[in-house]
Amino acid sequence: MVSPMPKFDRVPPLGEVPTLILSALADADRHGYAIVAEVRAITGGAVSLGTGTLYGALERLVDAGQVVVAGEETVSGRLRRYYRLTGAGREALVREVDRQEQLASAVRVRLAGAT
Amino acid sequence: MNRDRRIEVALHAFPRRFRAVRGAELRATAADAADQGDDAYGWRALADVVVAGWRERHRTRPPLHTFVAYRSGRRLQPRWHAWMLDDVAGWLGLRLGLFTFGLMFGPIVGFWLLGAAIGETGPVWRLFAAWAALFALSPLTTGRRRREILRRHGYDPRSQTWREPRVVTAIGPRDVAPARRLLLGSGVGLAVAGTAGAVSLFAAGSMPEHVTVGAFSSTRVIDTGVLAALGALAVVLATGLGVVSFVWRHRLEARLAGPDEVTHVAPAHATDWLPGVAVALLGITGSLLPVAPLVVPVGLTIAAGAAPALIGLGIRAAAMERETGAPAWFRLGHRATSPTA
Repeated sequence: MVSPMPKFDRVPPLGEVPTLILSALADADRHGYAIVAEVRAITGGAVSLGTGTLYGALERLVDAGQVVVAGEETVSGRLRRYYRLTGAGREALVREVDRQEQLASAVRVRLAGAT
Repeated sequence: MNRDRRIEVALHAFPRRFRAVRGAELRATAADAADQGDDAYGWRALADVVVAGWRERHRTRPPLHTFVAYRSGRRLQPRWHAWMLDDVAGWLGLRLGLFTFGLMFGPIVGFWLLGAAIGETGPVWRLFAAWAALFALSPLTTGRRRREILRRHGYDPRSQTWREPRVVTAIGPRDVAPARRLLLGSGVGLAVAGTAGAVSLFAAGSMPEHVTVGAFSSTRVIDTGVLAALGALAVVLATGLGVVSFVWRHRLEARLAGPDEVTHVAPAHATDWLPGVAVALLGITGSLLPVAPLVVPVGLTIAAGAAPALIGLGIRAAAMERETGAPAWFRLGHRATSPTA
């Protein structure tokens, strides 16, 4: 008998922080603090990225080719570097969203069976 | 300490190259966050910077076997070149000293514990004092080691350009010698014997507390036991290799069997470990030196520290043999060719 469970693709998880950063860059280029603020907005204030966490993750995303530097400016003596989501980054984000949806669907089926 | 200074200090957890590229940006973002009422300079935020920095260091450093090969004289692949530049730009002398310390620490502690179990703890403080002295002297050779590492990787610090390096350093004490057998064998022998000799000083606990001028020295070697005698043999071997190579260093060029791989048959590391060997010999045979119990472990440690370089060269020669299907040899002269050529 064929299982009613949805097909589950084996995709390595992207991780919460990279997912949130890619999400923050999905609709616009943003600089460091703008990414922090956007992540806070996305999560309803539940996640507030520290600067270390932010730039550690950004460095990994840049190395992976999922994010690029789109430009920089100096405002009030402070360097602002803007980041942009690449095609590879968008694909990774879509894969992550699909993975989470598949996982959520699978868990819901289990929970429904339990009740 | 003001807030900018605090985050500056925390930023040092990140690699040097990261700080150069993103340091100002990270500080600006922290200032932006503080302006918006975030706690961007509190201990939690600073801890976040430190943890992220160490994660970045861990992520971007070469794996252990690559690191050991690099410390032993091998070139790194281009993907690790940025890490290498950080390595030579920082406290290189200290890191080289710690690498040698790391090689010897495990065996030393193991034998010390063994000695403690049988009631012969030995003068541990002397060894640590010796290592401290060694570290204090490390800046004397750091500049030369830095230049050697950069040259090995084909990097010109003045123009900040890379080129494909054709010259690697090696050691070759004879006209024609089977590289694998000679280097791998002597390297392993030196490592085992040198380590055993050094640690035996603890297991035996037999170096005299007071050495009087004019005391007969040979009994001291015997007193330290068989392992110490093996250590003495190891440093004699190392001295032989080092002296021959040192004498020939301006005359020997070799081509190790392989494509375009010119090898300087020069003791690239000998000037680091040769003084140590000499000191060890003086310590073992030198009844004229009241500080013999102090200097012997230093010499043996340095001698054993040279072993990874020799082992690395032997492994390199063995790999070339596998690639070419022919024995790897060292040869003399600028125009010498490999046996397969």
